Amino acid sequence: MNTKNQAVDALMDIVSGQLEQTEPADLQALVTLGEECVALARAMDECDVLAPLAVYVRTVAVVAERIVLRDVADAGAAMATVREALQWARAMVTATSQNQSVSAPAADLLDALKRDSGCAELNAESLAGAGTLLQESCAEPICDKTEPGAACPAAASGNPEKVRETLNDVAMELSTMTPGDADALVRVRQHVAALADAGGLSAEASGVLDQIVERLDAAAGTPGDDTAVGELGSLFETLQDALDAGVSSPTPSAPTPKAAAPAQPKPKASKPAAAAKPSAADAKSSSDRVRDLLEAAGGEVAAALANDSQLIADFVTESLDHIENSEAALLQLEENPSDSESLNAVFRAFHTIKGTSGFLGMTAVQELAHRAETMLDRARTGKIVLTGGYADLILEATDMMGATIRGIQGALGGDPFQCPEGLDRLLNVLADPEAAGYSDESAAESDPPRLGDLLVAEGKATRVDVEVAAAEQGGRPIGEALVRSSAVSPKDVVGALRQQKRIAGKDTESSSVKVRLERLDNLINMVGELVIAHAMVEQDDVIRSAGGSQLSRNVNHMGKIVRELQDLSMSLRMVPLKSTFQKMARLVRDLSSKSHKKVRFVTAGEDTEIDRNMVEVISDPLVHMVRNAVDHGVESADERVAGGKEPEGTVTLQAYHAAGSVVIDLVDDGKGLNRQKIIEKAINRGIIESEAGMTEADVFDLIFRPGFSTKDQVSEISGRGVGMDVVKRGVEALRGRVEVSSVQGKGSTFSMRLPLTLAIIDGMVIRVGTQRYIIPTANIKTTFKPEPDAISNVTDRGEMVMFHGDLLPVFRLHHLFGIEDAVTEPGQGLLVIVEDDGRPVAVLVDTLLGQQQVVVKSLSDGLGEVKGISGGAIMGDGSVGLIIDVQTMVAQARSMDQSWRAAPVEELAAVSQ
Amino acid sequence: MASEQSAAVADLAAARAGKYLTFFLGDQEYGVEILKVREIIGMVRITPVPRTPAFVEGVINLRGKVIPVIDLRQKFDMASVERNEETCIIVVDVQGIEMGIIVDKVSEVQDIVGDDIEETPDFGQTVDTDFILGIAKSEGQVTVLLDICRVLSTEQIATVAGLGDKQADDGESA
Repeated sequence: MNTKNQAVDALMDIVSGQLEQTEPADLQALVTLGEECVALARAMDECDVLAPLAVYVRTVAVVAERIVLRDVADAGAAMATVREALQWARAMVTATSQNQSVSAPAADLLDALKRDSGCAELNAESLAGAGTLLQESCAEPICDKTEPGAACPAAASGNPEKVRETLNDVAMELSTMTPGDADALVRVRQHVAALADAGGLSAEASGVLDQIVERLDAAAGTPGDDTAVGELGSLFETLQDALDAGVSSPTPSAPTPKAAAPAQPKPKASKPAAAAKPSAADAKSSSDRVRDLLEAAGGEVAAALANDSQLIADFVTESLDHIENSEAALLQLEENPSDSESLNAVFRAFHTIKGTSGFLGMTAVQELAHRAETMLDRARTGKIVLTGGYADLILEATDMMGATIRGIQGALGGDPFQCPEGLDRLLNVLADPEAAGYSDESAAESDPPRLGDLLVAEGKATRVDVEVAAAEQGGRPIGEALVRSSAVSPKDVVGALRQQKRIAGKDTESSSVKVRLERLDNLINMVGELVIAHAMVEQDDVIRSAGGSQLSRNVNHMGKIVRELQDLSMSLRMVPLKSTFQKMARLVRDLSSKSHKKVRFVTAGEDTEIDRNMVEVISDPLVHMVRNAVDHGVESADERVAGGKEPEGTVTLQAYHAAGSVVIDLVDDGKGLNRQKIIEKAINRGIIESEAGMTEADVFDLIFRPGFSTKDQVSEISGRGVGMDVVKRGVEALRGRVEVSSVQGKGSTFSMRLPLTLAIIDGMVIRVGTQRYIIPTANIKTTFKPEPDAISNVTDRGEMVMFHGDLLPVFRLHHLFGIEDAVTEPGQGLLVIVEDDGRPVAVLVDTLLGQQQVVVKSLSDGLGEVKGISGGAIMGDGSVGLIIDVQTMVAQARSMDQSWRAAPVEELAAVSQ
Repeated sequence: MASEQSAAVADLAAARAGKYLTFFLGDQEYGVEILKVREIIGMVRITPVPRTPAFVEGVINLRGKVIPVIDLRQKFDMASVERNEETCIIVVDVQGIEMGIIVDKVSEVQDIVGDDIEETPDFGQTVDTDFILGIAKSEGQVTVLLDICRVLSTEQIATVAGLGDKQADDGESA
């Protein structure tokens, strides 16, 4: 005999023992008997041979339950059935363990069970089946089958506590369940069956249970039904409520104190308040209720403290944490009111506080949390948007919660607890924010002092005058009412109005100061000069020879300040792209709703910093590009589905630093550019003659040509090109580039590569002859000193060098820039390998001077664009160093190379003339 | 007719009257409108910019700003002279863009009245007089009043720079 059988035997003994002590009137004993029967049934489930008997024992448990609930016609008869049935079960167990043959239960016993359990034919059949099965299984020798039985449904025996346990199991199951998890659904279904079998449910609860069963069946029928879990969750909540209602109603469940405990967890002293709440609440108005709540609050806190101060201390710490978290989340919401994650975080915080405070009997806290939660729930369901007044209100509620909790914290230390001031008002407002004038608009007019107050303060009117005028104002502004009642002269009213305006205006100015960009530029330039001037002082011979003296220490100290000043000034002009991106998000939302397209807007790298003046300038081209992407790039939902894509289009805006530039990519997964149509249009417009020799990139570049397209023509083409020449011009004005790549049917990517006009770059300072240049370190792959004979040439012109097995073209910087006093012998110079569009080329320079961070400055407008130079940088000695633009420099070098090749022909021509 | 014409000329002259900063290139005195002058600085280290016309001497750092500097001698096709203590850079404002011009020596600020200003004589095609506002005579001295905006026509500089072509550079300086 195995251990499982032994367990069954042991339990059987306990049940028999209990049975002997149980009288039909002894409800406590009956409940215990029911519980033990369930335990026995569970043990039987584990034991294969006896498993069929479990159903039978469970039915007995149900009968016992029904006796407790007075749900049977004749308690005495039912008790007899229980006794008989259990005796039979015991006989069966004994017979099975001794491998004797067993007989099916008597038909009248089955009938009695059926009658008393009230659980319809299902049970009768399965009971009959149980007997048969048992007989069959006994025909085989008993063996130790160790595999566990099928998931055991927690048997709800109609005992309220058991029902609750089962519900908890279901809740666990639901919370851990993934949509489409069929096994989990089956388990839930078993739990529900157990609940239904338990009987003793109120009509309401049964109704909900029926709904759950329906929903479960529906969910089982449609795999991948994501909404099922959520709906089931809420159904079970409703069921829980229905059961609670049943529990608190005086009739059936009273006999078990244990079962009643969770519903009334409040400490003794708080009971009056708690009891008053449900009964009196409906009769009293909301504000009366609030007053009662607050009056009771002090007593509740004291009572709770007396009960378990450690618990309260934990609650305080935990709640303060929650409040802190929700404050952070609220600030996040302020920036992005649609951020559901932050909203949920705030909701959770209030929800948790509500639960715990309810448990501790602090009804005032619970009520505040509840009302805030109600409002947050409206925001979660999209009924309101947490901006303006709503946002203020929730912030206020958070603050109030913080103050209340701190009050409780104070009470822990022995101070008497007092509700924070304004709690009553806030509670009333939260009950109906709209009635109190809160909306998603900012409450701007609430801040400045009232006109009447100003007039009284200035002695222009008496308080009485103002009150009278206010009472009679009848929709007119107070000022007008005062003048009408001739209490105040119009002049005084106007004066007060101005003052009011001034006060209102002051608040907004104090937080930030608007500064002209030009002044900022000047400041930054001057700081740059200061750094240089300081460096000159520092390197002066007098200072250098004064090592260790007070003078040199002072100069060092000044150096630190100057450097900090420089860092600060550098950061002044850099702003993150976030606000620009947010504007675009707004634009996408508007555009997509206007064009009835579903567009998901994704941003990345919005913290990438860019020069302040660039932010303003890139905004326009970006708007153009985003509008194009949504209007014309992304197709309508139907077209997308037809093309085998998600109905929702995606437009991605991302920014990042690359090779000393800021790159802003706008990617859409729309229809892409239509090469053929662009070519047709371009030929039509006389921009090109034929497409011969044009690469994809060349073709796409056509859309940036001025005159390529006007608005109406573009929609005919591919929907691209609205003001694309404007975009290009805008970006080029910033010394940037726009590139486009596109795959027809897959989408397009517009890439803006912008220089950091004022950003700092890492540069390598090189020397050519007497000139210094800066090559952005990001462009440099490596440098090396070539062997004198490493450079070979092609037809005396194009020079090349072997580098890591690759033949790289060599360009002489002194040639390119016309520098005469430079090293011309490659063996004496240095080759800098730079990347040009991913292709490495070698540039001959004299030598490297070192690496340095430089501030990029645009060359003066007076010079226009200088090919090969991207800008200037102020060097340590105050002179200007030129920053090499590798791409245009190499492009220039290549074209010069060609012109040199052509040169001999021209020379010949010149000679022959 | 004649009186009308002379009246018109007088108006023109009156419009040109005002304070001029005068400077020397060689022995010749030139003047630029004082309102166009930002400041006068001594010679500083000038960074040559490749692929610009020869008269563009390079760029300098003017308190953190990079501004181009024009060698006026080169611009006027005059022979170069050695720079000395008196050589300086006049920073002028050309349509909102600051530029420096290198001159041999700064002289003074003169108040030139309209009566002293004469029309630019016609030298025929050999001399480009477009950038001359007029000629001012005083105490036997003749000052050429420059229309500095035309001298430093940014378009001209930018165009040449934009070409960025070696041959073009050579052509310009030749």
